[in-house]
Amino acid sequence: MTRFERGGVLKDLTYNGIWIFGDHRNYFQDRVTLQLINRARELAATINTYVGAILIGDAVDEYVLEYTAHGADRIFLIEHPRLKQYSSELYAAVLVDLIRHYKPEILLFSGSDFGREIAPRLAARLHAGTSSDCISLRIDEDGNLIQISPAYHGNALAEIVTPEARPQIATVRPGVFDEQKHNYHAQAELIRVEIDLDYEERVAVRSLGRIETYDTGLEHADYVVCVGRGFSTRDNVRKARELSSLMDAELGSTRPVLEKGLLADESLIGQTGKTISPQLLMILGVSGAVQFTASITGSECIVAVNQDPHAAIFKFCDIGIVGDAGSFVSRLLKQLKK
Amino acid sequence: MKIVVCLKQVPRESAASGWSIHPNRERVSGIINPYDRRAIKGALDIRKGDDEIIALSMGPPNTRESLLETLAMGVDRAILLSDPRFAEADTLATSYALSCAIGKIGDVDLVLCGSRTVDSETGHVGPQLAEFLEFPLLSYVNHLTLDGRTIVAERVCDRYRELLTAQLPALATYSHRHPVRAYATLAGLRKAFDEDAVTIWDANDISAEMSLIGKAGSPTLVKRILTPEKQRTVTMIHDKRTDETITMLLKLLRERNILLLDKVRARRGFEGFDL
Repeated sequence: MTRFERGGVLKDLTYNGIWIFGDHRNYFQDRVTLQLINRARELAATINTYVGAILIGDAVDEYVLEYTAHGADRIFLIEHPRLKQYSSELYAAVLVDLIRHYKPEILLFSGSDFGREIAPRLAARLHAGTSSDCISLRIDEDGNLIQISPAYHGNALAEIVTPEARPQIATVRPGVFDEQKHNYHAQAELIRVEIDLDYEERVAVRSLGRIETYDTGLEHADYVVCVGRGFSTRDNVRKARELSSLMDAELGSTRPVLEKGLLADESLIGQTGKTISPQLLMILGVSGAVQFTASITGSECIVAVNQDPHAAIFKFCDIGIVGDAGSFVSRLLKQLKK
Repeated sequence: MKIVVCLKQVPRESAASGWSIHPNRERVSGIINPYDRRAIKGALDIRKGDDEIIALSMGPPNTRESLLETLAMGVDRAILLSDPRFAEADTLATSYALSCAIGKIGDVDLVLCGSRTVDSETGHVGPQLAEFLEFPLLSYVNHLTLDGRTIVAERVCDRYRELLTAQLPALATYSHRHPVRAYATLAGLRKAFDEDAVTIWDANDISAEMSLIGKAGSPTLVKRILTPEKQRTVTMIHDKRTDETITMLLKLLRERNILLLDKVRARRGFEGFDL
């Protein structure tokens, strides 16, 4: 039998359980594992199965309680000194064995870099289906997982399903589901999986440390001020800073502003940056390229200021102001300070 | 050394309206996926002496145009996998077909890919191709160096800086966060069209297992494509550089239950300092 022989054509009903990969390395940056556990509980109720959290690493048992308190029914704990450093190759090798043994029906990862590297690897080894960066998950009438994955810069959403192959694997965008409140009384079954790790890694991973950055919290902000090419002088950016501090808003930007070195990389909003959904988004001097607008669609009220009455941004906002953004901001500052 | 660069021809952005599940890739004009240009640049930078760079793509016959462009950038030859039997492939079936082609090319030392495409944005093909080839995978690479048969990659993964080391043959995907790109030159274009070094292979040419390609080889199914409705009604204000604009804006915000002025004043009162 070759490694990639196609799995059974008929749906294999022996698969059950919704598994969440415990992304503990990113725990303090995003709590996507907890969000996924909570969503998995809701899904598990409709297909009558359990929620399993997979904890791989070295001395990571502190997360057992955390995942239990947030709703996991079973915790699979796989500890080994060689698993200390995240390695998609080694972790995939461990997971493949685990999946073949326990046969989970659904396997969810965070849509982090690591999740998006390991999920397709697993799918290839298991000849399973996978989808990426899902923003919604539900169960259809056949009991299959419907995975909604953005495509074409967010201009389209693909509804993806894996009718036969198991497990159904997906990565999920952080922040799209809420976590359950910490429940001190929750109980879970702890399954310590003993492994003899004789796998020889072909890629040696050496960590050079975490890049410490100031996290702007754009994703969670109620108010956001965003500056673009048309507002990218040093003086204007200073004004935008003043406005955002007055409004208690986070300051974001588009790529041209970063390229001028006026703001840090973390402020980037757009396809290669952050996706935001504030209550109020004030956009200054942004033309409205699709890479940008796709990342702001969740905003409740968008105010755009641009000199060009034909700027694309005016098709994506609620209040459009045609005029000089610099002069506009000066007057707004004056009014707000009154 | 033989270097294969994989690329996808994606629809031009302006065509971004009215998508269907399988957009008619014959009709829509295409461009090289911008992230794959990074991989082409990587191959050109790594190439030494008589190393050979081969561009590889799967798609409808018009993908030839993108492959010709890679030749104009300095790629030595190009292979297009084109066959109706490849159609409706998901990323797994695509990766499998690409792996068959790389097998047929033979003795490939290094495969380079972009880390994702701008259309479907999955980022699956690099990792899955590495699995089918059983090559070590180095993903999200910012910089690659070769020392004999040892490949070293600097990368950032979820804000962790890492150094990955492996032995050739290997597969690397370049980070989408660093858009360094290769471009065609005019002289290159002339040469590319003159030599026309694009070979077309079908499913038989690469000895693909029919149950693993196209729709049959795809575990996933796109049930439908939804286009999120943009339901914003725009109120336009033509600013005459007066305070009236600001008053109108604050009023419009208030109508939408956004009490900006009140919030700012409350903060100032609460924090007890003059902002």
